[in-house]
Formats: sequence, structure tokens, C-alpha cells
Amino acid sequence: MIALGCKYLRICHLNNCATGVATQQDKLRQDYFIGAPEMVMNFFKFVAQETREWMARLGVSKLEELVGRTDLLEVLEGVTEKQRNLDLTPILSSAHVPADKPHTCQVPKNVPFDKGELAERMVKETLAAIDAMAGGEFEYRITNCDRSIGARISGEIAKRHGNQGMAEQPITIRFNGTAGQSFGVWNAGGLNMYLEGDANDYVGKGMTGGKLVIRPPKGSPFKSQDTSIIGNTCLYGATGGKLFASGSAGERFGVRNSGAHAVVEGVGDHGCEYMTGGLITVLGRTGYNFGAGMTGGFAYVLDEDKTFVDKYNHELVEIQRINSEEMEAYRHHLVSVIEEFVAETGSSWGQSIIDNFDDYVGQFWLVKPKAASVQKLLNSIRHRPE
Amino acid sequence: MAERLSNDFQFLDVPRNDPSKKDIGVRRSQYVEIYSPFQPEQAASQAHRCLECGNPYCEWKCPVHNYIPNWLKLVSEGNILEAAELSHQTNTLPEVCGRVCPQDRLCEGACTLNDGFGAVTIGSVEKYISDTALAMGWRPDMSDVVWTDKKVAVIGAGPAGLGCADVLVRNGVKPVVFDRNPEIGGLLTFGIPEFKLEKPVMQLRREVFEGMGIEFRLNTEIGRDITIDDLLSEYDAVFMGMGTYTYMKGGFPGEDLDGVYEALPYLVSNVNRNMGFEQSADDFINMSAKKVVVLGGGDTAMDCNRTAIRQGADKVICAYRRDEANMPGSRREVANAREEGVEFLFNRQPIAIIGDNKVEGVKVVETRLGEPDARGRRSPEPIPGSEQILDADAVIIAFGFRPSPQPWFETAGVSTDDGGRVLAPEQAQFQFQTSNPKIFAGGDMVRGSDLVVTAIWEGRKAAEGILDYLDI
Repeated sequence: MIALGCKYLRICHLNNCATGVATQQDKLRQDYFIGAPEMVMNFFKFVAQETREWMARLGVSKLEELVGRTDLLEVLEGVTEKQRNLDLTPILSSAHVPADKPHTCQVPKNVPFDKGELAERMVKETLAAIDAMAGGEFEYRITNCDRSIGARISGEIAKRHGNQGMAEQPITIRFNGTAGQSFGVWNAGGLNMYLEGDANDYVGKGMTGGKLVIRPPKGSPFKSQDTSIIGNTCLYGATGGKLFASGSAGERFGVRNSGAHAVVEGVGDHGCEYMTGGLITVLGRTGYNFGAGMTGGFAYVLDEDKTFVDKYNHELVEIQRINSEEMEAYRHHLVSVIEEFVAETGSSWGQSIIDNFDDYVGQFWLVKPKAASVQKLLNSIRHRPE
Repeated sequence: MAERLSNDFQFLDVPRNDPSKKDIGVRRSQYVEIYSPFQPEQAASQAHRCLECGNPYCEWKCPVHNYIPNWLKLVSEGNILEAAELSHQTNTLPEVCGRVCPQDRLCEGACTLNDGFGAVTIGSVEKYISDTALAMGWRPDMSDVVWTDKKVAVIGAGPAGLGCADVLVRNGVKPVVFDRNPEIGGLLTFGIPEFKLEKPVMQLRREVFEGMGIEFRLNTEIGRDITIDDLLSEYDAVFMGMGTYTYMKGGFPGEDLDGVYEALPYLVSNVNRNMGFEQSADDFINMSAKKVVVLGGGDTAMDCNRTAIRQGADKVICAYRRDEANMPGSRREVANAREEGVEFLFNRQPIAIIGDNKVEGVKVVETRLGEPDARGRRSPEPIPGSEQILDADAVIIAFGFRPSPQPWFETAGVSTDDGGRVLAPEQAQFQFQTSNPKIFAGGDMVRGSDLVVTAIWEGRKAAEGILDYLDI
């Protein structure tokens, strides 16, 4: 980052980086960012060059020959009395490594335990539909041993047609069961995945398009809005696409989201932290620190027990009601968002909010960055920030 | 109080705005500061442009390491008294530094926003803080000071001496400051013209210092009115901050002609007249209706140029041997001088002053810049055959200053280097201690002529050395 112009301002969380490195502000990125790929290339070339020079001085031709060679290090005398009192011999000692044993890893690769069998099978069975851009419907059972499901297919789609190239002819996959970690990670436009059951952490991490829909098994006796359905850190760094989950999400929901739209029925602590774009709708309780460092996008939060004021982080975002005259556009928008959620998930909680919207509308908050204007918010979510 | 500013993009939304300058007619004829003061909203709005960089370049660049982002924030919040208290923790004369520091080479030059956004107006805000707080009746908080029975003699009431006295008195040591002039400030009062620093500023400072417990004995010269031995026996330690007053010669023929003046006596004579300290009307050096050539390119040369304009000179030419980019002084002052009508001739080295008995002109030769030297400065080389004569009725020489070692240094056991600078190293058991353990020194007389703010720094550091030496 320093090679690209970062000056160590330590204001990355404010979106106002004056060197244009850590900001989504158009003017700063266009007019003040001086970085070019060659600068990073040069930096690493020089790092390698300097390393080689030092190795040449030591008469060493491979980095492997340096591992564990603490005998080549010289201890400086130290400038202050305290430094001179330091005894560095314990950390410089190689005595515990047998001299006749290798100092480096001798195995070529650490083979993962998870062979990704379901993922590979799915690729095999959908590949023809991807190649032909034909779309299609598929069905699988899923267990929590199946991780990063969807990523392989998204990769094949993106490789052939780009991130959004198949969005109009999507492949739809219906799952039954419990998904392992990272369900729908890096999801591309053109892959819609419906899961009846629940999912672990990282659902939709880094997703850029498509749709992820998670709903409880039919006939579940519990109330979806009081029950967890997806784990922690879902939508981390997502840039687009949609996520609907008929149930509660864990901590850190939507962190660093910059474009995805999501509806869930509750979230844990730190929801929407560092969010820079997109829309999050929470039809139920949130945890503490909601909206910390959030500089873009916005959220709707249903606050039935009137505790949200004490829970959100006041530094960068502000909240307002949507039941006033001038917020009519937002009310319509919220209803359409919940309607789409209900259509996808069949959530009875979502349906009852729509049925009694007049009773609930006064309990919703609109959460937006202080710097954003209410007039422009609705438009802003229709463009992706990048 | 208006609503507190909270805009992370203030630096984009609000451009840098310097305080407005006074009308050029006023500037060319009167000895008044040329910048109008900031209004409170303007100061807050400009201070709020600061990004509060985690690694504040301004603060590192500042020779006294002012807590710049912190007091900018206080000003943007309207907390002027707190800002004044903080500003005084690192600086003895913040309102003076706000006026005379070359900010474009120091804090504002290092400001992150100086890359295309316009640096924060740090100097003007610094001046605003102390001016406003002092006018509101704020005075340094001395309530925690525990007085000791120690007292220290400070020789010289310039920036170094005042810096030293400030730190001493805040640590309960009684400073008695001696100065040969009738007012405190040294060059701040007698060297720097009013259009950069109006004299009531130092007069108010004197009141503040006296309120803090600093005693001044003015019109008192060491070696004439009182001896160094008296000081050494009466006081627990002595600090010398006596500056550099020997002017550098050009080493060319004609420097002794009538009508050739040294920069400092010229500036001092003008201040003396304005302040009513003039001993005899003959001491006044007047450039009225004269063709003036000023030789040199530093801040002192600019002061001479602009004083000559105000005295009503017919024409003022400033000849400098390097190009504009290599001038040592503040670019702001060069721009101000140019606005006021000074004509600049760059790449001209004087080789002789011409005239029978009296100055008639200056012979200069054109120069070009050679390869950079070890310090990166490029030395000018004359171009043969490019000589030219500039008509002149008066010539002011502002080539800089050398130390002025005193005859009593030897008996007091104070050593100097070959150039006459007092030896008082910063890196020592007692910082800025001279070869006489009881005598400390700092400022220009130790480092050679330099900025006001570096002299303040050394005076303050020497005070810490003295406190260590006195075991306080």
C-alpha cells in the first residue's frame, strides 16, 4: 500500500483517505490516487533484489539454506542500557533442532482432508448447462461436511461468461439439509441457490451476484424470527447479489458489504460494520454496535422492543423513522423488499408484517451514514459503488 | 456555540483560505501586519480541514513538535482556551511562530493536504489561538508550580532566552532575563519589521511572562553594566541566548563606500524610529526617494526590501545569486515582497560596488547553477562576460550573520568552535551545557543563524538541561 501512495494516515475507516487508497469516494480515487501496478511490481522486485544481495554476501544461493541459520545473525550491542541488558541467546538458539534433520518442510503439499466431492459432482452435472448458457434446475442433499458449495460452479460461470454473464439464464439449485461453511461464497450472477434447512458461517462471503435463499424445513414448529438459520460473518465483503434468510443471522452480518441486498429476520452484534454500499433489511432484533464504521448503503431495522437506539453505533450513522409524509418512497420500497423476501422464502413472519404493515411501519428505522442525503439514498443502491 | 463541525470531507468541500491581506496601498506605506486575523467561524472551518493523520507529518516537521492536529481539533470545536493551553505546552511564543515561521517549508509544507488539496492554514490558526485566548484574558496556568529556591540568569531576551525562561519558571526556578535592549524580544522586536510582527504582540508577551514570575532587567549588557562573574556567583546557573550579530561580508571591493548598509542596523534603525527608541536622528537610515539594491535572498533580505518600499524608495531591486527555487527563505514572503513592488533579479552575483566616495551602482555577473553539493544545494558559477551594472543610491547587504563571541567568554571558560559558535552539544549528560558547567547556551549563537522556532526549541531544551543540572 505504501508503494501505491498510502501515507499511513490511519483514517481508512472514514472513507476519506486523501491518497485515494482506502476510499470509495470517486473524486479521491480519480484525482488523488497515484498508484500503478508497476509500483507494486518494483517494490517486490527490489525486495527480492535486496534479499539476493544479502544472500550473496552470505554465500547462500537458496532461501531454504537460510532457514534456522541463526548463527548467521549478529547481535547489535544496543544503544541504551536497557537494550544492553537483553539476553537474546534463547531466541537465537537452534540447539533444539537436530543437526541431521531437515529444517524445511519436505512434503510438497498439505493435502486437504475435504475432497469437495459434492462440489465436484455438481460441476460435472451442471457444466453442459453452463457451457450452453442454458440455465436449468438441479437438486441435491447437503450436509455440514460440504463446504464452499456453489463456489466451483460460480468459478466455471465467471471463467466462461464473466461475473454477471449468465444472470439472465440462471442455474437454479435446490438443496435439502445443513450446509457447511461458506455456502454461496463468491457467488456469481447466474447461480441461484435455495436451501431448505440451515447454514453455517460465511454464507455469501464475497458474493457478487445471483441469489441465495435459505428457509427452515417445511412444517418446522418454531418461530423463524426467533431462531438462527445462518451463522456468523455472512456476506462479508459481498459486492452484489441477493441473500434472503428466513431466520436470524449471527454476528458481523454484512460486514464490508459494498453492494449486496439482504433480508434476514434478526442479526447479532456488529451488523453492517464498515459497510460501504448495498441494502440490509433486518425484520427483527439486532445486537450491539450496529453500523460501526458504516459509510455507505443503508439498512431498514424493525425495532419492536425499542432498544435499537442504544444498540447502534452512533459515530458514523444516524437513524430516522419512515412513517413521515416525505418518506413515502421508502415505505413503498420497504414493502416491495419484504414482498420479494416472502415470495422467495415463504416466511410467515414476513407475511404478517406485510399484512399488518400499518402497525409495524412506525417501528422501522432507516439507518444511513450521516454524510449521505436521504434524497439520494434510493438512487444510490441502484448503482454499485465501484 | 454553533453546532460542532463533523465533516470527514471538509478538506474537499472547503478550500484552503488564507486570511485576507490588507489593501496594497496600505501595505506599501504603513508598518502594519498585512494579514487580517481569522474570524472564529473561519478558523473553525479551516481547522476542521485537518485529516488528523495517524502519523502527523506537520508535528514531526515542526522544530518544537507542536501538537498541531490536536489543537486544530480543539479550534474546530470552539475550545480556544484548551487549545491555548495545549499550544503552550510545546511552544513559548506560539502567536509569534504563527506569524513569522516559514510554514510553507515546515508544518504546512509537510501537511498531507499540501499534495493537491491545499495545506491546512496551520500558521494562521496558531496565531489565532493565542491572540484570541490572550485577548479573552487567558494566562498560562501556573497553579501547579512548586517554587524552588533556585534562580537562573538568562542572557538575551530573544526567542532562545524566552524559551529557556518559560520552561524554568514553569518548573519553579526563578529566571532573571538580562537584555541590552530597552524591550524584550531580541530580533523579534528589533529585527523583524512590524508588517510581519506588530510590536504590541511582544509587549503583551512581556506582561504575560512577568505575570508568570519571569523578571526582566533591560538596558543591561553583560560585560558593560554587569559582569559574567557577578552572574556566576549570584545565580545557580546561567543561560546564554545572545544570537548572531556579526554580518557576513561579500568580500568584494566597495563594501565600505558611503551608502552601503548592513541589513540589521538598517532594520533596527527603522524599528527604533517607529517605537520611539531612537537615540539620535542621525541613526535613522532612510531609503526615501532612493534607488535601492538589496543583496541576498533570505528572510532578512525580504524584510529589508519591504521596509525600503514603505520608506518610499523610488525603486527596490533584490539581487540573488541563485534562482528563485533555491532561495532559502519563505516563499510566502517573496510573494508578498513582489506584490508590494520589489523587483527580483535572480542568478546575479555581486562582484563590486561602484562609486567615488558614494555608491553609484552594483556590478553583478550572471550565474548559472552548478551540480548539487553534499547538502543538495546547488552552488552558482559565474558566466564569463555577463557583467552588468545596476544603478543604485543605496545598497543593503543581507548575506546572513555569523556568531559574535564576547571578549569575556575566555575568562568565563566558554569554548567556541573555529567559526565562533559556542560549544554546547544537545547530546550530552546535561543538554546544551557549555565547557563551563554552570553556563548553558542555545539558539543562533550555538547553531549559527537559523529560525526563531529552532532558537525557542534550543532554549527550552537547555532549560531541561539546567533543571537536570540543578537536580530538580
